[in-house]
Amino acid sequence: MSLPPLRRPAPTRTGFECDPAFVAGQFAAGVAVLVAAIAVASALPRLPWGLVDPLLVLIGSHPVINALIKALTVTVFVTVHVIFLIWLERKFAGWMQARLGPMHVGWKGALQTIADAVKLLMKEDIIPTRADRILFIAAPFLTFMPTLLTFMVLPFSEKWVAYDFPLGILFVLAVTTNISLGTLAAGWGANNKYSLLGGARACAQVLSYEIPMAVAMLSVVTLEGTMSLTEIVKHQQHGWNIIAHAPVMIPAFLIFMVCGLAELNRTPFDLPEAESELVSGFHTEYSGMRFAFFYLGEFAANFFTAGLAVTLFFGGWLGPWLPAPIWFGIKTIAVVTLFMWIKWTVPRLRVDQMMGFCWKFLVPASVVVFCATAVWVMVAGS
Amino acid sequence: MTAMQPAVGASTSSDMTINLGPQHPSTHGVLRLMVALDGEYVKSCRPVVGYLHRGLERMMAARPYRQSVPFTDRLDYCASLNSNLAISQAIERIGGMAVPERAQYLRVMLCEMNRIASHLIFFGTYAADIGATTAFLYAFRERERLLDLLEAYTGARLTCNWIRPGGVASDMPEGYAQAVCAFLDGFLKELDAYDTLLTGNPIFRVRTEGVGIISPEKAIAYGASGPVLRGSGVNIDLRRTEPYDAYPRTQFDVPLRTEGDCLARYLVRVEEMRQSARIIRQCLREMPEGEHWGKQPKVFRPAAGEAYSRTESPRGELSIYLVSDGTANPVRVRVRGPSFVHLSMLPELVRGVKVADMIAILGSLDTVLGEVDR
Amino acid sequence: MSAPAEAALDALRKALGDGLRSCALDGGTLRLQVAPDALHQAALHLRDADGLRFDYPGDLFAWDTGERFVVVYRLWSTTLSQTALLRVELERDGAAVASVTDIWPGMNWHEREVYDLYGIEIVGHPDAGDPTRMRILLPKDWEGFPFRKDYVPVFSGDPLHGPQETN
Repeated sequence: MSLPPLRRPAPTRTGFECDPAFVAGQFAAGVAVLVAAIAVASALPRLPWGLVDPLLVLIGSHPVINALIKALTVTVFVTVHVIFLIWLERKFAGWMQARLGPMHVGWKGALQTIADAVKLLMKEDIIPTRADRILFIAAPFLTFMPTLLTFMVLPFSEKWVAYDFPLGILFVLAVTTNISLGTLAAGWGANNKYSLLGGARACAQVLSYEIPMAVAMLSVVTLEGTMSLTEIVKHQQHGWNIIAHAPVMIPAFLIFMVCGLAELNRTPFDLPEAESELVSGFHTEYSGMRFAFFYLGEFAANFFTAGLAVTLFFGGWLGPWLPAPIWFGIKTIAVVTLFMWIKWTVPRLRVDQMMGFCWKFLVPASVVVFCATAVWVMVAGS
Repeated sequence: MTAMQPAVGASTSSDMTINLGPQHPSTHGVLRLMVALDGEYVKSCRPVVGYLHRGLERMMAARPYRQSVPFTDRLDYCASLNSNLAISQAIERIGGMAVPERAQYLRVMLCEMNRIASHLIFFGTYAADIGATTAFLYAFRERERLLDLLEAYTGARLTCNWIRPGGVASDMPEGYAQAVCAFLDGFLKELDAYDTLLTGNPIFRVRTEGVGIISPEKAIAYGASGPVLRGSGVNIDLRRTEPYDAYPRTQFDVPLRTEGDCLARYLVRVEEMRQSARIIRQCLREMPEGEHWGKQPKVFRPAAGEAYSRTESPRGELSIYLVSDGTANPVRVRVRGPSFVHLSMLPELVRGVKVADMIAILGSLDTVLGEVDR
Repeated sequence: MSAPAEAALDALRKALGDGLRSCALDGGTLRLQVAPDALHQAALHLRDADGLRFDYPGDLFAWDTGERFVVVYRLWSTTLSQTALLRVELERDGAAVASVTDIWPGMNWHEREVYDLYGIEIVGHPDAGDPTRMRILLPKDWEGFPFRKDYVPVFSGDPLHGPQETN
C-alpha cells in the first residue's frame, strides 16, 4: 500500500516567506490606479477647452454653482476612491494571511468591490420592527456626512482644495466629533443590545481619543503658527515637519496615529464592532445600502485621517518631479497601508484598557508634547 | 421567564439580559449564554446547552459494542481519534482484548497528531476571540496540512473512525512516516513564528494575563482536567499518572504553569503541541514491526461487569464507562467529556468580569459542544 | 491500601453501620455501595478522611437495570492517585438521592444530567425542585425521562415544529 496523493497540493507559499514580487505587484497596481486617475484629471486643463472655457468661468463664478460643482467632485472622489481602498484592504489582508483575497471579478478581483456594491444595492432594506425608525434611518448618513465634509478642506495640492479654510484644523476637529453622533444613533436606534453596547463604546472611545488627537494637532499649529492646512504644507517647503522638527513631531505623529486608529475603530481599538463580543457592534442590524454607507464612511475616514497625517507631518503634496496630487496620493496610500498593517496584526484591547490608555497615557503625553513644542518654537525662533 | 424579556426598550433597570448564542461568533458552536450585564460588567451567566444533544450514549447502548466507535467521532469532532481511543480502550478492558505493540504506537501517533490539530483550532479561534484575525488563518493553514495527512491515512479529515477495539483499522501507508516527519519539521518552525506573532504581543498579554484565574483547589473541586488543570499548576496528565498504550515508553514533558489564568492555559496548549511533535517522532522511530490488529472474537459478548477507560484527550480527561450484562449490547455507555465539566465552571469564573473577559475566559476553556451535548 | 486508608474505612464502617452495604478493594479501585440516605455522609468522609482524600469528582452517572436505578460516583484522589467507585441503588418509585454539589461543585451539571435523563430527584441541588432549571440536555418542557427503560416518546404535535426552546 502506498501513500495516496493528497487531496490538493500542499500550499507552497506562506505568510512568512513573502513573495516580494507579489507584494510589489499588488502595491504597484494600487498606486497605478490612483496615479492614472489623478493623471487623467491633471491632463484635463491642458485639453482644448478654449470654447467652453468662458462658459465654465461664467458658471464657475456663480457661488451656488461653484459650490455644487465642488461638492459633487468631492462626493464622487470619496465614493470612487473607497472602491479602490476596499480592494486594497482585502488584497493586503489576503497577503498578510497567506491567501489570495478576491480573485474572480475583474483583474485580480479589482471589480469585486463594485460587484459587492451592486449586491448591497439590490438587497432588501430591513428596518427592525422595534427600531427607532428616524434614528435608524438617519444614522448611516450622520456617520457618513461629517467624513464627507472633512474632504472639503483636505489639500490635494495648492490648488486642489475645495475650500481653503483659514481655520481648517478647527473645522476638521469640529466636524469629525459628529461621527460619534451617528454611531450612537445607530446603537440606540436599532434597539438591539449588541448595537447599544457597541454604540456606547464607540461614543466613549471617539470622544476620549479626540482630546489627545486635538492636542497633537495643536502642536503642529503651534509650530506653524497657522490653522490653514494649505499654509501648513507650504511651511514645510524646506523640510517635512517630521524630519525638520523630529524631536517634537515624531512623538506628536505617534500620538496622532494611535488616536487615528481609535477614531477609525480599527484594531486594536475595534471595540465598537468587536466581532467576537458584539457580533458587529453598532451596525449589527444594518444591511444593504445602509450598511454600505457605514462602510463607505469608515474607509473614507481612513483615507482622510491618513491624508491629514500626511498634511501635518509629511509635507502634504510636496515632492520632486511628480505632480503634487500624485505625491499626496502616494504618501496617503502609504499611511493607509500602515493602518491596514496594524489592523491585521494586533489583537483587540479591552474597554477599560482602551480608556485607561487614553486618559492615563495619551492625554498627559500629548500635553507634554504640546508644551515641548512651545519650548522648541521659542528656542528655534530665537 | 421575565429575565429573558428585552431590556432596551423598557430601560427601567440598569441591568440588561443578553443572549450570546446559540448563533454568535464567539461561542464556537451552538452554545447559548444567558448573561445579565450591568454596563460592561457581567453580573451572572447561565450557559444553556443541549442544542446538539443527539442521545449518543443511548444510541451506543442500543447496538453491539464495536459498532459504537463511529459515534465517538461525533463527540469531540476536533479530536475524533482521541475519542475513538477512549471507547476502544473501554471495550478492550471489558472484553479482555490485547492490543499489539505496533498498534499501540500507531494509536499514540494518531492521537498526538489529532491533539496538534485540536490545539491549532484552539490557537486560531482564541486569537480570533481576542481580536487577532490573522493568527486564526495561520493556524488553520497548518491544520489543513495535518488534516491532509490524517486523510491520507484514515480517509477522513474529521470523523476518522480509525482506532478500533483491538488495534487500528490498517497499517500506515508506504512513505507515511517521511510525510509526517516533513510536516513536523515545517510545523515546529511555523509554531515559533506564531509564538512571536501572538504570545509576545503586549496587547494579547494584557488581555489574558490575570484574567479568569482558576486556583488549583477550585480546579480540582470542579473536576477540571487537561490544560485547564495544568494551567493552574496541578501536575496531572493521565498519559503520565495512568499511562496507557505506548505512552509509558515515550519521553515527553508535561507543560505546567502555575498562574491559572487564560495566558497560562494558552501557553500550556502551545507547549503541548511541541511535546506532541516530540512524541510522534519517537513513535515513528521506535515503532516495532508486527500486526496492527489483535485477535478478535467473531461475536463479542463480554461477561457481566463494568469497565472504564480514562484517556487524556486534547481538552482533558475523556473517560468512558461501560456496563455489561453479558449480552451483545451494553446496558449503559457513559461518556464523561472534559468540555462538559469545564463549561460548568463558567458561571463562577465570569462573575464580575467584563464582557470581553468573558469571551477570553470561554475561549481559554476550549469547549467543544459536540462533547458537551453528546 | 495504606494504613491510614484502612483506618479511614473502619471509621466509615462504624459511622454508617448498615448504611454501608459493601466495601471492597478491587485491583487498586475502591468499590463501595451505600444506602441512599447514607450517601452524603459517605461522600463527605471519602473526600476528607486521611488516606482516602477523594478530592476530584471524576464522574457521576446512572443507569436503569429494569428493576432499579444504579447511580455511580467515580471519584479520584489527586494526591494519592487512587480511584473509588461509590454506588447507590435506588428503587424506581420516587427515586431520589442527596446532592453532592456542596462537596464537589463539579458534580453540579452531572446531577442535572442524571435528573434530566432518568428523573432521579437530586435533593439539595441548587436548582432542585424547578424542572425547567434542572433540565440540561433536553428542552425544558420535555415530557418524560428518555434514558429510562420504560420511556415511551410522546410527540405532542408536529415534531419538526415542536418545543424548540431548551431550558
